[in-house]
Amino acid sequence: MSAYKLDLTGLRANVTALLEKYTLIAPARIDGKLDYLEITDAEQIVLTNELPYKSPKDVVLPRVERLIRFADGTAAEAQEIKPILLLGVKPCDAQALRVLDEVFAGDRGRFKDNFYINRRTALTIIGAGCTEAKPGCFCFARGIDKAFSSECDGFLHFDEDGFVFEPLSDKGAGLFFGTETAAPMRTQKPEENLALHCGEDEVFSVMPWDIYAEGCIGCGTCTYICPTCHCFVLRDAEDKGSVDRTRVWDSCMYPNFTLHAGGHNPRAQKKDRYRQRVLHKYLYIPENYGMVSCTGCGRCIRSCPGGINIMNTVYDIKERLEDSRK
Amino acid sequence: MSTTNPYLPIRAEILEVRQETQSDTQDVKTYKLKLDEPFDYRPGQFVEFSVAGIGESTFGFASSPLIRDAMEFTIKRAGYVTENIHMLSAGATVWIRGPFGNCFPLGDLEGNDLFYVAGGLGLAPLRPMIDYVFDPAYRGKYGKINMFMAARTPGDFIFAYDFEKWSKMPDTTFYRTIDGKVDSWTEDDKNFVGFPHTLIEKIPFDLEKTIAVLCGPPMMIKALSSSFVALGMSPERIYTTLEMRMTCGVGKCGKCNIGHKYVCIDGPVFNMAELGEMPNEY
Repeated sequence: MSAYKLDLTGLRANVTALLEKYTLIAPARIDGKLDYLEITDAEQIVLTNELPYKSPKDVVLPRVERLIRFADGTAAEAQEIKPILLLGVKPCDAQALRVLDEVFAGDRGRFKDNFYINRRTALTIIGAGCTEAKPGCFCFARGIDKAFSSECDGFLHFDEDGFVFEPLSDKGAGLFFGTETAAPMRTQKPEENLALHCGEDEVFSVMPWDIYAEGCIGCGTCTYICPTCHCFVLRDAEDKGSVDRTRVWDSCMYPNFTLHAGGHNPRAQKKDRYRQRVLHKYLYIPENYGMVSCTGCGRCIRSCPGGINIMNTVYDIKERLEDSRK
Repeated sequence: MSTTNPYLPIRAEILEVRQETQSDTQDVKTYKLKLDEPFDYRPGQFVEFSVAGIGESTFGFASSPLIRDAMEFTIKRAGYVTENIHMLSAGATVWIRGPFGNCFPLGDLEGNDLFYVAGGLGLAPLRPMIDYVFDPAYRGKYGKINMFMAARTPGDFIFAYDFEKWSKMPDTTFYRTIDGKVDSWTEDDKNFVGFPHTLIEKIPFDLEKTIAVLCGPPMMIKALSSSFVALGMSPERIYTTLEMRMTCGVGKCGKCNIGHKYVCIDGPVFNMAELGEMPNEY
């Protein structure tokens, strides 16, 4: 496919046209912070090297979403979907959506999640790269190219005069117009060196999880801010004679998450919960879905009040594994 | 692969509520349901059972899948959802989605003797298999059967009304035990006092031909399984069904995994060789 060169004015004109057709979500400032926000004016969009402080996962898994409505003795699907254009998604976050696709809609999962698929089908993703890593970023160690992701419907490359839009799917074709040009050369993907290749028995009861988890205060921020964390709970709420069953984000960092009604808790201590978070990303999802569920975005590192650093944890595990195999 | 929406529940009417336990707390009841759209299931599977406006909980089937017109669930009052279920009576509407999970490998177990050991409420998820195997169409496919029921007190046995029927089944020996001596309990060669893991050696069975099927509190399962292994039984021949807190039932919500295995889709039925390879987090 051809690519299209456009400057900032051209980009904004395109965005204004797209606002007619889509709910548009893009990096924008709120109280000085950059976040993926719903845009009503093309001038709000900020496409720079800066990473939005929260992930865009709520476009496919809203924090609170009505799934089922019970009324008059029936239960019916009650999801409300509108077509969303997610613009300026960073390569780490685009990779995270790929992981969620695999878990909720992929062929390796034994059930498909209709509600996720409905949202995902109505979503178009346009990526935009980073020019350099920020403190806390470790996408390079995860083998993710900071400048480009093919997990998008189209990509906005930075160019000396502005941008080059490269369509990557039928969904992405025709979204941005400009002067026709050649698609930019692909940059070399960094080599993935932060992954675990071991059995569960080599790490589960062996690694010093209590030391890794020492700083954890159980606030769950890491899971809420993470682009791939997707644990949830279903909650019922009654309103004027009908009942809504909603899906709400949950967190494996909370003690109640696994607490049985009878009082038994398989993950009773914080080391058990931190171990679950790390191994879910680095061993269990790789085993079940063939990909690591951490994209190196560094948000959990930047936002942890206890100073926990998942990159350091996994590097330490790798080092201990290597030592034990000598 | 499911093609329908796994989260959309089916309406069910409570046909009958039976008080199970007769001890002070009276905290276990069985609910017999008629579903608007009945579905097939296999012994060992489970459902998400809900009261609209209150929420869902996970329960194993407690009746034989060969009963086509109704299904039963035996529920202990233990938390918010179950307290609300316990307030319901015949005629009330509840919601069911499922069936979820694997099942007891009944085909693979044909030709073997069976040794059921159930502690308290742990008998509920075994009842579909027990009644399925006792069905005249299937009974000939299995050998001798030992049934060993454990409860805290005589009033804590569930399905006590089935015990006489079960004990008279062909080639079946029926044993019971309670945790501690009480006046109303007479000990003999089939009625014991004490925990099951200390008593199974008193029960004759063929080590080579027997499959043990256990369900009860986690401590009981772990102790019993060690006792069977100590007697020389291979861990592949010891089956249990696990219970975990769950939301989705379909391998997404992240609560019930033990390592990379999800109790909701890889279980709830595991043999002890499989559990031995999984992290000890259950």
